[in-house]
Amino acid sequence: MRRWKPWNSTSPDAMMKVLIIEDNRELSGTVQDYLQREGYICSVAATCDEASDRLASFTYDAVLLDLMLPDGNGLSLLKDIRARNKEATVMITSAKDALDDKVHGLESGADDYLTKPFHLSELHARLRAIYRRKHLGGGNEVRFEEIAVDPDNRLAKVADRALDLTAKEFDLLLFFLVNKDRVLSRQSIAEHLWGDYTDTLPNFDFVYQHIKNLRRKITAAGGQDYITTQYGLGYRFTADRT
Amino acid sequence: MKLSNRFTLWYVLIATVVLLTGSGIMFYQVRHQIDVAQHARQERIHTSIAKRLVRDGGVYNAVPSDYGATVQALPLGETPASTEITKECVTDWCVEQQHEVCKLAMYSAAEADGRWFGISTRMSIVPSEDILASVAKSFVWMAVLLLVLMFVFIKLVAARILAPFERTLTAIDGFDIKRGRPVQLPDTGTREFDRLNHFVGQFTEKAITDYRSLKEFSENTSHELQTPLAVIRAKLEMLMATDLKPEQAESISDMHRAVEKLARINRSLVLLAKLENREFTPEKDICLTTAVNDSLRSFAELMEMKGIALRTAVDPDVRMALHPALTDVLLSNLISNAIRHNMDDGSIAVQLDRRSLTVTNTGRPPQCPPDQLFGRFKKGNPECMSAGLGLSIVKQICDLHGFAVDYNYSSERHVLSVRFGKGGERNTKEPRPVTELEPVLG
Repeated sequence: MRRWKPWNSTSPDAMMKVLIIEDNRELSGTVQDYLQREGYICSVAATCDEASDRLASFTYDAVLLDLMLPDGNGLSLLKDIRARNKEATVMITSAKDALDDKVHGLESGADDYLTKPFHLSELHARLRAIYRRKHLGGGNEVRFEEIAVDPDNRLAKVADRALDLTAKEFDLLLFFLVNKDRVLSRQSIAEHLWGDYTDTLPNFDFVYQHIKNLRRKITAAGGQDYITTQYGLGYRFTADRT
Repeated sequence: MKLSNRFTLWYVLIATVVLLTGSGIMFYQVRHQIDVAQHARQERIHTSIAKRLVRDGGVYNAVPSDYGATVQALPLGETPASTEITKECVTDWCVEQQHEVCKLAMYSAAEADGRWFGISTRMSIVPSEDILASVAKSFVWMAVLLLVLMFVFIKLVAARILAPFERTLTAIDGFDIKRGRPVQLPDTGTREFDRLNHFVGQFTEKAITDYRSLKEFSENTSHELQTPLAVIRAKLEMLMATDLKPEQAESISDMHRAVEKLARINRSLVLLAKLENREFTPEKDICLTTAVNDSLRSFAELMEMKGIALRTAVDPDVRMALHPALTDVLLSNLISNAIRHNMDDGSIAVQLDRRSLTVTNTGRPPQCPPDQLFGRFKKGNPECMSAGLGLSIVKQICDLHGFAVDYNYSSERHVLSVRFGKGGERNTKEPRPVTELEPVLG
């Protein structure tokens, strides 16, 4: 049974309950705002106590966990979450970029680790990916108009014609679909495709190149070009080309 | 020059001066004393003869203690030219010894029984040369004795006295501020050394506290910056999704770019701080061959887009103890650096064996001196939008693993090589000869 229809945020059963544990009100507010627009139901906890209370009273599908909280380390909450809420997806969002911390966090039961400052689009994409992996198993297609993407088998089709995409192009298409109708900056795309430490990444011409190739392949397969350029901001994948 | 040798040298100098002047003084003193004694002795003889002439009524009776003095009666009524005692040094020929001898001749006059007598004595004295020779000889012996004792002293005693000092030096030499252990030394019993050790202890402790607080400050700053950066970034991304006029979009885009750069610099600085704090230990045995190939594969697309040709000479199964995450960072920094500072249709050559990893790439010459490239915020190409931290991260990672890294630019090629040192030699069978990498034409 699907509890929500992926990638369709307007559908009422797409509600995913997320608990944001973060002591910085501005950040938690922004994340909450963003995720709510994506169709998540969000609550915010600013301290370990508050988080424990909420975890005891409600069930969440996903928990965003900051490690440095005013009244303790977020890692201690992890055990709590795991004990009460086995199904929940736990994503650590921390300012601590220690590679060892990352490993430690993942070993103690977190599903993913995002280092601050993160891109909201990246957070969204990761949450979706983990959630999909954990709850829905294989066989769920992401559809957008005539484009269909199967993340598990890494297949993409345009009107049932298979697209021959490179790994990066595939990731790019999926990233666009997850964040459709949103402006994606070149930086967030670059980080999504090449990961951390993009300080050494060659400049964003590469993003442009990938997008150009992706566009070309989709239109060559008979699909519409849904990628629009937003001034200097970045790109948007949308059916509404205005 | 060693401290003990310096002491010896000065001591020898001082000893030489003292011995030379000493022997001079001694020579004159001895000669003077001998002269004075001899004169007094001969004068005593003259006085005694004069007295006896008066007592015996002008008749001279020689006694052995006169040492062959001659007494001559002057003609009656004649008085001597001088009644004072006169002396002179003469050299006589000694017939028995066939040798010249120095003698002191003394003349005096005495009146007895109404007429004058001339008295003269001649007695051997020790010649100056003999005194000089014996003084010199004894001083040479003294000098030899002094030097020998001095050397023995320096070798045995000085080494013992200076041992605490040597210990202090070794301790200072081995001091590592990052390890956070101040230099602590036991009491030596010598006041100066105890003071020195006390100072050293205090200084190192102070240095460690300062270092630690500076480190904490930069670490905390970096950490504290992450959250505000996350807020700015998130807010900007929210703004991007709203309806914007082109000018607004442009401003937001600029802000976004600036925030991205800030975030990247900050992240690199956090990593650098962690590397400097030695928060990572190279613990796992990693197959570097696989890591290099994986890393190259992930950059293959980028190289293809830029039309960069890749040549590799990677030895199979090069393994060593590394930190897995740092290995990734190191390799991706090296390779992406080679891509970024490349030219269109350029080339990259990657070569790995048990001794070294070398990344060579075509590109324009660097704009700053090569030895500065590993410094922070140093960029070979000022137009580049990176922060210039990539190579300092490479350097730090290499330092952590005990590798040497160097850079040079020759015939339009940047060559960055990491030499593994003893860490990499461990599994060496037979090092493969380094193959010359063909330049890529076109």
